[in-house]
Amino acid sequence: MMQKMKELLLFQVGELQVGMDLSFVRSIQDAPNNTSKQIEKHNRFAPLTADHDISIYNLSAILGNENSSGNTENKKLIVVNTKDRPVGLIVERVHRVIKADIDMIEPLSPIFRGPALSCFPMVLKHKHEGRLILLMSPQSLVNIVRRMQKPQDLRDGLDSKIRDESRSEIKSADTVIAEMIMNSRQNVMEWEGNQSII
Amino acid sequence: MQEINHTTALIQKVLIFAVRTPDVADRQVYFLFSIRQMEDILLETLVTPVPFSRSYLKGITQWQDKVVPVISLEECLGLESSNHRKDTRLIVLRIPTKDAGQLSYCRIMMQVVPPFRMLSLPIDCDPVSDEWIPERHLVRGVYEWENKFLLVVHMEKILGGVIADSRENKMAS
Repeated sequence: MMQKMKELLLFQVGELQVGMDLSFVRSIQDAPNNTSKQIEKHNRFAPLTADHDISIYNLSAILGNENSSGNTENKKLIVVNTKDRPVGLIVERVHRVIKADIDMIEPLSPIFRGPALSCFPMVLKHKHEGRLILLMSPQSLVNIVRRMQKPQDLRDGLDSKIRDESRSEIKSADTVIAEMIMNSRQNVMEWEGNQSII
Repeated sequence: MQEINHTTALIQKVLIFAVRTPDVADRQVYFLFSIRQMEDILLETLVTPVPFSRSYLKGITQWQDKVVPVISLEECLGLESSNHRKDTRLIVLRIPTKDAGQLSYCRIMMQVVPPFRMLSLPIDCDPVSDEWIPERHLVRGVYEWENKFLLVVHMEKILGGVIADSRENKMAS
């Protein structure tokens, strides 16, 4: 009998351990230096390769970790595929890749609604230091952050922009859930050197 | 026959415990839940916060094999918080939902302060105004009993996210 397994990348954002479907991930590398002022504003455009500019988002700042600073030293940059183009996510640490039975993955309760539900549509019942692991949809996160004008909006979470966003995001959450649970790896991964980093 | 008697006894029992909010009209306020809604009482659990969620949603935790949201019912109802006691407990409530026509149950965990008191129905109480509750649409009823207010909450609406719609509509208007 075939087991239905998902490959998930686990990483640290502030105090929170987060997971992501490995099929979204293109590469992992050291976070770029000297970008603190721009990254405090949550994103910037940086020449990552010779022919591509990508948006970089500091997840610690976005997810409201008070201890987060703009200093990206010793942090990691995860480059992920989104609908339009790749984006970079700066995280504290990249832990490891795990294979999880899909029976271990549950939808987040609909009580959360809005941006919380669309950014974290699923939960992995694999505990890290006693806590559950939220599974992130990078596409939903990017959609929400792109519409933010001020960092304060992110912390408030109830700003009208977010609420408007949440209405449209609720529909797309179904798509995200389907992607995470049902689809096999559709994206072509450029997984270079990840073993040494992980 | 014994089973029927047991079920009847369960239906007729309710549990009350203090709401962590200041007295209203010199009366202490209590939540009232049916024993059938209660599934467990825990001393503590580790809660995983969910970014971007509203403040009354404290996060998620695992209870048995289920992922359960943890909420502050006082904040959810818009009530002023008054109690900062550390000897809190967590109760697991089950809420009936219909999933493709089939009855199933969702769970919610909430932080409460002991003591818990069990009462048998019927209770000699009178319905009173709920005007003092900011999110009164989430309340089934408020009743006066022994110089206390008993508050019966509409858990299905809370689980369904009706609170969010209500607040958004208010802000929009």
